[in-house]
Amino acid sequence: MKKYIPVFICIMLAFILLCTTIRSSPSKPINSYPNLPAPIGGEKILITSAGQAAEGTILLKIAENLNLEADYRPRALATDLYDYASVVIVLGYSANGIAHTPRSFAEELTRTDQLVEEAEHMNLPVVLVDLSGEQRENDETEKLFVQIVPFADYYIGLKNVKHPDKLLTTLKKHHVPATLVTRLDDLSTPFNSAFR
Amino acid sequence: MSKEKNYSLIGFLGLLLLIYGEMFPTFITNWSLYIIDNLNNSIMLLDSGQLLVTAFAYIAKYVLISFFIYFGAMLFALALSRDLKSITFSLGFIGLTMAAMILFNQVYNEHFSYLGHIVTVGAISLLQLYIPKQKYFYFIFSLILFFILMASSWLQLIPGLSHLGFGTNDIAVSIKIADSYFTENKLFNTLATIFFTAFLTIAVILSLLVHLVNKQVYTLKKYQQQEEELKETRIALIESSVYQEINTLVHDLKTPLVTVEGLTSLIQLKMQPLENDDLQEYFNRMDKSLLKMKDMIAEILSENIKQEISIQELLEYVTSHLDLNEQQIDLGIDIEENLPPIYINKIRFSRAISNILENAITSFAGKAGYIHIYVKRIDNGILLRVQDNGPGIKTSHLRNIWEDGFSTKNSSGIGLSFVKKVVENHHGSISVNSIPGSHTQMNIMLPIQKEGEQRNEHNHSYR
Repeated sequence: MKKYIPVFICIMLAFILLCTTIRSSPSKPINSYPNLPAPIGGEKILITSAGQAAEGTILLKIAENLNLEADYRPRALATDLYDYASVVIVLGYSANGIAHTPRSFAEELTRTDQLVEEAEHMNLPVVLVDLSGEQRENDETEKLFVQIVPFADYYIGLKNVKHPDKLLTTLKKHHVPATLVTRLDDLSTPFNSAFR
Repeated sequence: MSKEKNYSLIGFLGLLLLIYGEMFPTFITNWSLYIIDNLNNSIMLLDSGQLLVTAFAYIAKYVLISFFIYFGAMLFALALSRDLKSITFSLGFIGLTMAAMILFNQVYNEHFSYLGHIVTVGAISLLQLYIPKQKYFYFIFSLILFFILMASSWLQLIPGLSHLGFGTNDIAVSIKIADSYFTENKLFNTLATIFFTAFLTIAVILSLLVHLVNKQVYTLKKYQQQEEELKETRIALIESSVYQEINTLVHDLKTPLVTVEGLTSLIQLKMQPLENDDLQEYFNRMDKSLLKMKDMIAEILSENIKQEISIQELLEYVTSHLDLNEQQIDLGIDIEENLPPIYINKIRFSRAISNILENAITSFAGKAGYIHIYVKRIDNGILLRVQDNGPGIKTSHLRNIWEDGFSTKNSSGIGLSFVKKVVENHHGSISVNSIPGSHTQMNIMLPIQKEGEQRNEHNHSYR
């Protein structure tokens, strides 16, 4: 029986970790705008990434399906904004994504900061989109979010986040209207509402 | 010392694998690039098939990395604990693996789920308890480790378990998000669950099979050992009962012998033969024979009754009982001059030499040949060599000829074992040299006993 002690320790540790994860799941219903009442931006749209997560391509596909004129340039710089009427930033930190750019995470933060500041300077609306929800809720994504949110004009994200109350409070603080959806398919309507 | 060296080597190899596993992502940057490019392409083309290929590439990459880390941690834990069966080994393995995964997360910021790795390392620790700790341990462990890591990697790709904390690493998240966009997670919830279950089942079945086979082999070996012990006991029992019967028979001979001795004396008294009469001569010869018979019985009944006897006398006694009629055998005896007498149990020792000679005679099977007996002094002993030019003994049989029951001629197989026992009982040694087709030599070495030793031994044997 003694030989099973290490296995029991693993089971106990797994159980503790599981309890911690389950407890932090949302329990209350989340209220947010279904979509924007009027468009805030026009075409042509620059879709870029903050954190270089691979799933940013999904937003380009959604834009294509909505027949929106958009470019997906995940590594776009502030100097690239001259050609666009709106900026859409896909939020999500990816270590592998960053590793395949010539930049470090600190440089990615600087690039994002310069991009949103230039967008504000050019009066371009900034739409912040989070496609990953709780799956990419880490320190790096949080840092990027905190940096972008003061410049954002609209936020679209998923309902399955660990701390939705905290998210909505932060957005409210910066007067950013937010739409939280259940599935990625539901993203099309609020995204379309920002431009049409 | 060599075991110590082995553990050092295992520990070094484990550390090397751990470091290699930790550094592996830096060697395969193209692999990661391929995964990300493939993922982007699959999203652009809305191609689930390509997403699946991406998932396979992801699984291959992380199974390889995890394999290096887990196997390295196992070897390092073994070198530290030096016992695969100990709890220290299991705890060391768990601790080292988790420490390596924490370091991996810190270095590469991949956000691997610790829950997934605790479950994986727990499963491996459980299954390794059922792997026999024998020479194939490393191979079987690596196989089971591979299947568990495959199962664990697919577990990370089950979107339904994401909210429990499984599959939080970078690429797994991207794949699951893409799948959520394509099929609302129906594809990976189904496929990843099937793969996870399949690999886990294979790992469990493999462990149980190995465990059961090992148990069966162990039981079989135990049965074989018991059977051998039983056989040895049977032989010993037969031998002891044979000796007991002979002893009883010889003992029973004493009574009619005493009667014959008494009656002979009585007849001699009644007939009162003259000094030089033939009858007196016959009575004398009868008395001598009766005395000889009494000596023989006494020597058979007690192994320790020994007497001083010259080699010449012993060999004459032995050869006088040999039946060489109808044999084409040339029996030669060559005894060195001035040899001291030997101190032996005449009957038993004669029987032993007779056994050797009879074996040699039988081996000729009626064909012509020679048997030569050489006796000479070597240092403090006397060498008695019996050499014949018969067919010889096969090399493979040389080791077994002294065993009880070993025979190539369907005989009892106790002849040579008896010879060995008798020689050893006389503090001597016996060896055999044989070249099949050429000759066979039986060498008996007997120690020469100095004056005074005989008495002491005799007294000691009666204590």
